[in-house]
Amino acid sequence: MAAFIVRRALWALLVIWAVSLITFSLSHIVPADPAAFAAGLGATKSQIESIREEMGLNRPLVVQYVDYASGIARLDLGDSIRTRHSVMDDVRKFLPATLELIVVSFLIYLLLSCLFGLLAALNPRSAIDLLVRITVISGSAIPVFWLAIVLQLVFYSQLGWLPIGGRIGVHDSPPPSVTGFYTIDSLLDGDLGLFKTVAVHLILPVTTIVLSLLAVGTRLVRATVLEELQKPYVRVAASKGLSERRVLFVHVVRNTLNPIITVTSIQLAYLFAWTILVEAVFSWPGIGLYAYNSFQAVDYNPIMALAILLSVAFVLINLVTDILYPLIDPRIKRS
Amino acid sequence: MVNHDGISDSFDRALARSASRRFLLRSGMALGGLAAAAPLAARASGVSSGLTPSASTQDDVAWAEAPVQFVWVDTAEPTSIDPALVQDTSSFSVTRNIYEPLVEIDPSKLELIPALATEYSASEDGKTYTFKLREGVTFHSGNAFTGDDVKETITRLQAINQGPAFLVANVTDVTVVDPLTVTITTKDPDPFLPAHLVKIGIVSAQTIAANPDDDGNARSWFAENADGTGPYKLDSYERGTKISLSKNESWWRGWEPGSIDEVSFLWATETSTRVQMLEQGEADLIGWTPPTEAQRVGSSDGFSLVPWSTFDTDPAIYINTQKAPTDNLSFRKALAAAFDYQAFVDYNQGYATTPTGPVPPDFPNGAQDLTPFAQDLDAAQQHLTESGIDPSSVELDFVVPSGYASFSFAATVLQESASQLGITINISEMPWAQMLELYKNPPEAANFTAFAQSPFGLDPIQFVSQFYVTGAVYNMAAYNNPDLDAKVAQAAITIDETERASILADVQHTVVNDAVNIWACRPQTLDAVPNHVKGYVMDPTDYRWATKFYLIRIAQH
Repeated sequence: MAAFIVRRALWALLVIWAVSLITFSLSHIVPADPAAFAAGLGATKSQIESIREEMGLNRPLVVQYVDYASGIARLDLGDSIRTRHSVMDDVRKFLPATLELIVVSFLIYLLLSCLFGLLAALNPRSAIDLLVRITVISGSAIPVFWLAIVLQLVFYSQLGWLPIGGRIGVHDSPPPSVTGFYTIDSLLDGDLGLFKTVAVHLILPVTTIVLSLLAVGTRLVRATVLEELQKPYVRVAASKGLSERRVLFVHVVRNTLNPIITVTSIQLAYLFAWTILVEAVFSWPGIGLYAYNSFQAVDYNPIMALAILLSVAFVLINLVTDILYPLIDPRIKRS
Repeated sequence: MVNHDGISDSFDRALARSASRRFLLRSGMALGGLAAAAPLAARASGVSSGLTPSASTQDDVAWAEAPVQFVWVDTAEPTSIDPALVQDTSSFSVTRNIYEPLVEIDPSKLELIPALATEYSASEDGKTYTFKLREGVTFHSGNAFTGDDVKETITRLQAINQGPAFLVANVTDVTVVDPLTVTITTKDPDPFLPAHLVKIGIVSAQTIAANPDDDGNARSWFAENADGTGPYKLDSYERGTKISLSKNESWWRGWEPGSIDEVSFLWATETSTRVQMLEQGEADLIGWTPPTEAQRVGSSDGFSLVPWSTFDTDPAIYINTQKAPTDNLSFRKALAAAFDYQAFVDYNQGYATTPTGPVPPDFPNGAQDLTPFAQDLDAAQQHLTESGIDPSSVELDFVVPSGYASFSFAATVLQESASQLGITINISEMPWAQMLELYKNPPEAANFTAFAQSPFGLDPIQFVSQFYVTGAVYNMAAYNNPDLDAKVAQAAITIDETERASILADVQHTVVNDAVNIWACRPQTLDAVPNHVKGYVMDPTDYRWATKFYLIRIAQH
């Protein structure tokens, strides 16, 4: 196992290096002048030059890349022209908000997928199956930004039940930062009132994400469980007198886990890329909103850093998935 | 203008207090210079006499009781809160409330009024200004305000050379004569120096010195903290989430009942989010409301629709003068004459007028004898014939900076108007930063692009020079006219008001005659203002945006 992890880690470094080279080349091939953009209206040429020099954009591309690549090795991803902070600071600042949103959404997504998938599989072609199918498919058929705006209109403007966006209320202060997850930090601070506020602010963005993902998970669980239920070992187990519950949860569910992990892990990785839309609509101060604003300003360093971050996320998620496979299915370990 | 009584009222009260300290100009030169911005003699005498009537108009309002909280939801987080770096509207909304300049603009009257300077005078040659500073003013840190702060602010600005530094590019020396007197010397005579200083918020010299970093300019400190003399002090800045300002209780102008004690700045990129927060009463005011939404919300219960007149041309279509076939003057004139100006007035649902040229006639030194453009297809056809260009033989391209509805509409209107002359125009979109790169080589750039022209301050020279002088960054028409360049340079150092106005009128006629732009529209900016928000005023010389929160008073609601 250790050798496997080391091998994968070396591959991961290679992937990250390749991504850094590709994103650097791509972002610098696009003809753009971020310095002039950052200087704003009214700026003189001397001011634009001053920004260009400060950001090192006046140096040859090769020098810029070598500087950038050596920076990555030191975990220094350069500075953002737009925010005027170091990109690492920005990532540290904004990543926890995104992680919190994604982790909470994904856990709820997995739970609901299994629940609805099982319900549908155990009652195929019933009214429950139909209802689950209609609900989850319509959720994922609606464009995510539109779904988000409709949820805001209904639950904020019309009903007034839920906040429209942000992580906390207008007049709240964030909890002392320990993990960057406001849910955990507010509990660590013993502030239950703030925890409730944080939880309430999570509802709409989490609902948006869960509804968008739900069709895939539910359909997958339904299909794989149905397929497993047809297999001879289920009949054998039943004929041995095992209870239906034991057959289902100990044998069937375990055998359905591998395809589900494969698909949902890919979904999780992609989720990092498209939370941008959810964050923009819900003014969620995460890495997605940061990316959105950076793209608008052709802010090279954050864009490259985010590409690298995304590839790290993909690599890590794949690594965890690969480690999980043999734990769940001993046949993979043997092979 | 709706709500105008409220607007002038609170500003006038503030003004009345300042005016009582007398804001004097002691030299004919300075009078000439500033009269370009607005008639100063009238202003100096009118300040006290014109205030009394309106000052009483809101005495019957029941004001909200302290602590008055106010929520401002902007379109984007400030790029910086360092006054030496800011050059965007979301940042101004914060810094204009924390830092104060020597001289200020009264946005409702477009006049210069005293701020940290109580009076100033200029030398005969127009190169040296002497400012008398206000006594007893302290920074939020408790440091006393003196001439050293003025000197260090300008020195720091020039050293960093970003943001508003271009406004003091002409300054060669700042001398502290005594703690409450400074002289500012410029390389060339600069009749608009006071108008430029309006945009320069004074920072504390002691704070700069106390927070040294790599370059000695305390940039790290000013990125997260603030120390100004203004009405509000920075309470907290939670990046990505919120900025909180609280009232500077010992502010030299003093406060009125109902004035805001705490301002929370939030940011929502999505327009619908901002509008819903305004409608639900969670936001007291929001940044940039699309006109249709402003009209809808503004006409609903509890809101007023406030149309602000601006000096903006939005959009101005830049015709590339260095690329065929738009390098042909008659061809450009044909397009300008064919353009459907009325389409833009309709687009803005009547809240707009058609421009007369690059500088509106009500802006300082705006030419008075130009008439609003109008579509004239016969004239257009005649110009096209004179150009000698066969319309069917050419295809033109229009590159729109992406994300701006009015710019895209300009391209569509021009495409439609030109098609009536048989001219084909292809439209594409491009991000702004890429546009700036594309236009570095004009013959390879597009035939047309569009963006807004908005004045930054009351200086007409700066207003025209950034768009029409050869090599200027935003001269997207790639206009190259050495004669015009010389005239602009001459106007910039001409102290005599009448002479300068005449030179600048000539400049405006020239760019109109050369059809450098199609000045499509002068829209009003529409705001939906909750009825409990009194005294809100938009500054049309600050890229029509920044809000000075000390002017606002909140009625009980």
